[in-house]
Amino acid sequence: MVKVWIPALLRPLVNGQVKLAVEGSTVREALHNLSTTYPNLGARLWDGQHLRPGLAFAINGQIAPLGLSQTINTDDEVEILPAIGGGTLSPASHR
Amino acid sequence: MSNYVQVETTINDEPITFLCEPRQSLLEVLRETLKLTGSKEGCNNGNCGACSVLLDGRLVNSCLVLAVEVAGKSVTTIEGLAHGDHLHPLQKTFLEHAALQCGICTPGFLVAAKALLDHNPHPSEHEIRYWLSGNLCRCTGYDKIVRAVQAAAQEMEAVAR
Amino acid sequence: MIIEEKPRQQETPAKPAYKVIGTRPVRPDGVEKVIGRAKYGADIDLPGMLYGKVLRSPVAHAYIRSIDTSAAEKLPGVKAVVTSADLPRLSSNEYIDMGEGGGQLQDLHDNILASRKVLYKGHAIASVAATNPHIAEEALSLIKLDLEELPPVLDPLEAMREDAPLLDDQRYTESLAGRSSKPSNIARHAQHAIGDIEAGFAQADVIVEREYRTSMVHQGYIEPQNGTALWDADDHITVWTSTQGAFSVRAELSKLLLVPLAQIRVIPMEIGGGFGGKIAVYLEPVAALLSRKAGRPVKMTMTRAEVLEATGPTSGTYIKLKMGAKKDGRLIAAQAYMVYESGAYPSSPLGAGMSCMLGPYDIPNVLIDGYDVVVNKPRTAAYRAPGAPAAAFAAESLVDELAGKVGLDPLTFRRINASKLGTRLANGNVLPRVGNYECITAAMESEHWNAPLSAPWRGRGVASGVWYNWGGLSSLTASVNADGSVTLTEGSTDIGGSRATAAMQLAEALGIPYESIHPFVADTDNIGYNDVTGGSRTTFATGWAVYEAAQQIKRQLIERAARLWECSETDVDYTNGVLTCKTNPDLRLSFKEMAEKAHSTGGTIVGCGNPSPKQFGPAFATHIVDVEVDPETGKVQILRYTAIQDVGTAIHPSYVEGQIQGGVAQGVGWALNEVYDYDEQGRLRNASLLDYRQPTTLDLPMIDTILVEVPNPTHPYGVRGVGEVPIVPPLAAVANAIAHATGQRFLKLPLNPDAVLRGLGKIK
Repeated sequence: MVKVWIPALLRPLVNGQVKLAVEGSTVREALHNLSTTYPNLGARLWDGQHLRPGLAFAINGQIAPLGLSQTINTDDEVEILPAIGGGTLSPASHR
Repeated sequence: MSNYVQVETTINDEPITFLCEPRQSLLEVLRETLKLTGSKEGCNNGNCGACSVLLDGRLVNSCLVLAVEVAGKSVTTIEGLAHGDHLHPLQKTFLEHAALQCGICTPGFLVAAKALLDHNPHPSEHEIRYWLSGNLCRCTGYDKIVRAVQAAAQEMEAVAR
Repeated sequence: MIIEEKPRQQETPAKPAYKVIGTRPVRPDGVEKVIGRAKYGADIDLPGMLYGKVLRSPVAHAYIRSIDTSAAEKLPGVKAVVTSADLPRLSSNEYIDMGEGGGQLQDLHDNILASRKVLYKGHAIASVAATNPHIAEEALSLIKLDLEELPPVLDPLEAMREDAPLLDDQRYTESLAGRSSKPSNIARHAQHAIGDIEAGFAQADVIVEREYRTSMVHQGYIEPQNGTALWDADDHITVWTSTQGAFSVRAELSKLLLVPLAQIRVIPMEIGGGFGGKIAVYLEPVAALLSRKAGRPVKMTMTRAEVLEATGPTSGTYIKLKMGAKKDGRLIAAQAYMVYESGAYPSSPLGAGMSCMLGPYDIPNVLIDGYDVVVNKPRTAAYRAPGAPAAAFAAESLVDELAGKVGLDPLTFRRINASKLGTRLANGNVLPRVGNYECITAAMESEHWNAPLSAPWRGRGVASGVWYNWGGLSSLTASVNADGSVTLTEGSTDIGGSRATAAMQLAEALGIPYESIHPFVADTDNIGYNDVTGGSRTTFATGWAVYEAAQQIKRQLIERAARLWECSETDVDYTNGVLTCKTNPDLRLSFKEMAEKAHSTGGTIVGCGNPSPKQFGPAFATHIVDVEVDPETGKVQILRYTAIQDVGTAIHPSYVEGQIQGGVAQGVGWALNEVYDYDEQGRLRNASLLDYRQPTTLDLPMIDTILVEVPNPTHPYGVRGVGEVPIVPPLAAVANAIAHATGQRFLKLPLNPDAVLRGLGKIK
C-alpha cells in the first residue's frame, strides 16, 4: 500500500481524512483506486480519462517528473499538490 | 508624397549624402535609410541612451536630433569606434570585464564612454557614473561597465605614455 | 543561550580540478556586440518590408461596440488592416505551458487583439501595415472605435469583493476543491499546508503579524518587443523576433493561428533583455496576420509606452503574514494570506510566490492561502524569480522583526532556522542538498557584516531568499570539424552569456580549448525542441545536454582510435583531449589529430544531447546592504551592497557575478522607486523610462558578490542556475536597512522619497 496525502481543500471529499492508504504501482493507478472508493474526489481529479489541469504530485517530497506515469513502491508517500508554473519545482504534471 | 530633403554630412569619417523627410529623426535615418543599426532604439524620447552618437564630438541622443540637423556636421556612431579589426580600448575592456550581458545598451554606453574619455581621460568613479547616468542598462547593475571604463582609461593612459 | 546545531548533511566533495570551468574567457558573441553588428529583432530588413502599428484601447475597461477601419484602409500606403475578426476561432481553450508561466489559450487570443471587451488601457484592438511607420500611425488615427465604457477595477482587494464589477462574467474561482458557483474576479485560490497551524501558534512565545503591499513593476528590458513575419502563399510562416524561447513562440503561433508547427519557422534574433517578459507573444501573430493579408513581410516594434502599458509587468501584491517563534528563536508557525494581481487575465506567479516565501526556513506548522485576482491592468508575465521577491519582502521583513523581539541578530536568527537537506516545505517538497546555511555563514563572516556603521541616518539590513530553479528540455548537436574545431548548434536563446557557458562546459568535457568551440543559436527549423531561456535553466540543462553530446563524441573517438590501432575499445583511454592506447604507449592521437582522420575512419563525428533533467538544484542567497536616509528629502542612497549566493559551480564567474549584480539592481529599483502609478481611470501616469525611474549608474554603488559553491549533486558539473535568486532578497534587505536607519518599519513599496517622508511623519 502507498500513502496518499490529501490537501486540505480536498479533504471534505474524503470525509476529512488527511492520509489514505491505497494500492497502486503508478500514480495513475493509485489515484484511480482512490477515485473508486471516493467518487466525489474522483469527479474532482478526473475529466474523463484526463487529469484536470492544475494538479501536481510529489513522491516522498520530490516532484514526480513523469506525473501520472511515475511508478511508486510500497510505503511511498504521494502528495497531491497545486501545480505551479515552470521554474518552481513543478513540471507541467497534467500532460 | 512628402517633401524629401537632401542632407550632406559626414558619418564615421565618410562623406555621405542622404534623402530624408523633415520629420525623421537622425536615429531613424541611421537605422532605416543608412542601415547603420548599431545605434539602438530603447525609448525614442531621450530617456535610455541606447541611440547615443557623437555630433561634432558632442554626445547626443540620436532619437532627439532631426536628421536634417546634421547637414555639414560630423556624426560618429558605434560603427565608427573600431578601426578595421582594431578595437577601441573601451570595446576591448567591455569584453574582458564582461560589461555586457544582452548587449542592447552596449553601443550607447561605448559611445557615451568614449565621449567621456575624449573629454576627461582620468575620470573618477563618480565622474564615470555621472557621465553615464543618461544610459540605462537593465542587465549588469552597472558595476562591470564602470570597471571597464576605468580599465580603458588606464590602458589608454599607459599607451599615451 | 542558543546552541546552534550545524546541519547534518553530506559533506561537499572537493571541487574537481577543472581546466576551463571557472575561467573568464571573452564570450563568443562579444565582438559583434561591441562593434554594433549583432542583429537584434528590430534590425531586420527585408525586401518589400512593411511596418505595422497597433491601435490600443484609450480606456481601461469597456465593451467594444464596433470598429470601423474603412477610412484607414483607404489611406495611400496602407496595405493591410486587421482586428480580432482576422484571428481564427479557436478550436479549444487549453492551458498552454510556456515554460516560465502560461495561460489559457483563449485569454492569450483576447490579449493579442481584443474581441468583445477591452480590459486595460493599451489593450490591442486593431493593427495596420503600411509602407512606412509614419503612414501606419496616421492610419491608426483614422480607425473609428465605438466603446461603451465600464468602471475599472484596479485594486486587487476591491476586485475580490462580491459587488466588484466583473472583468469577465464567465470567470469563476478555480481551486483544488473545484470551481466557485458564482463568477468572480478571483481566478484561483491555492493552499499550502503543513503541520497544525493552531497548535503551532499556541506554542509560540512571540507572534508578529503585518500587512505588506508591493506595486506592479516591469521587467524593464531596454529593447522593446518586436516581431517580423512573412506568411507565404503556401501557408508557411517565417518569424524573426526577440524572444526567450523560439519554440515557445512557435507553439503559441501554431495554436493561435491554427497552422502546423512544422510550417512555422521562428528565427530568434539577438535579444535585448527579457527577464521573463519575452516569452508570451504580443506582436508576432499580428504581424503574421498582416503579412498574410498584404502578401509582404511586416515588421512591428513597440514604443516604450506600449511596452510599459501593454506587456507583462509582474503582479502587485497584498500579503498578510503572521509568524510565531519560541523564546529560543526557533520559528514554530507561519500563516499567510496572499493576494497577487494578475492584470486582465489569470497569469500571476502566485504559486511560486507561495512556494518561495518561507523557503529559507524550517517551520513545522505553515498555512498559506493564496488568491490570483484579475484587475484592469495589463496581463502579467514572468519577471525574474516570478512571485518570489514580493513574498520575500513580507517574510524577510517580518523575520527581521521577530529576530529583534527574541533578542537575536538577524543572521543568527536566520541560521538557526535555516532550511536544509531534508527540510519539508509547505508546498510538499523536501529539500535536496542546498547552500542556505553556507550563505548565511558566509554573510556572518563577511567583511561587510563586520564593518562599523556609525553615522546617523545610516542603517544596515539583511535578507535571504530562495529560487528553486528549473530543468526543462534542451536539445543540441556538436559537430567535430576536420581541423579539430567543434560547431555547437544549440536552441537556447542567449540572453546574457549562455553561448559562452555552453561552450565552456563542452570544452571541459572534451578536454579541448574553449577557443575551439563555435557555438551558435539555431532557429526552430534547425534544431530539436528547446524550452525557453528562463527559470535559471540554461547553463544547467543546456550544460547537461552539452555533457551528453561530449560523451557521445568521446565514444566515437574511442571507437575510431580502436579501429585505427586494431585494439579493443576498452584499451583506449581518452583524457584531457588525448587518445592513448593502454597496451601500447607509443600510440597516441590528440583530439585534433583524430578529428583530421574522422572522415577516413568512419565518417563525420557528431554528438547530440537531449536530456530531460528530473532534479533541479535550488539556489539560496543572503544579501547585506547599507543605506543612508536623508531625513529632509526622504531620499535613500545605497552606500554598500554585498550579495552572497550559493551558485553551485560558477562556470564563468564574471557572468555569474553579472547575473547577481543585475538582479540586485532590479531589486533595489523595486524597493526604492519603481511603481505602476495608475490614476483612478486606470491610466498609467508614468509610462516612460524617465518617470518609471529604474536605477541609473548614480543610484547604485559597486555591488560586491561572494560566490558560495555547494555543487548541485545531480548535475555533471554541479551547476544550479544563478540568474533569478539575486532579485529575491533586495526588497526586504533595503527595507530592513531603512528600518535600522530610521527606527521605522515600512510595509509598502516602493520607498521613494515621498513614502519615506510620510513614514517619518514629515509630510501627510
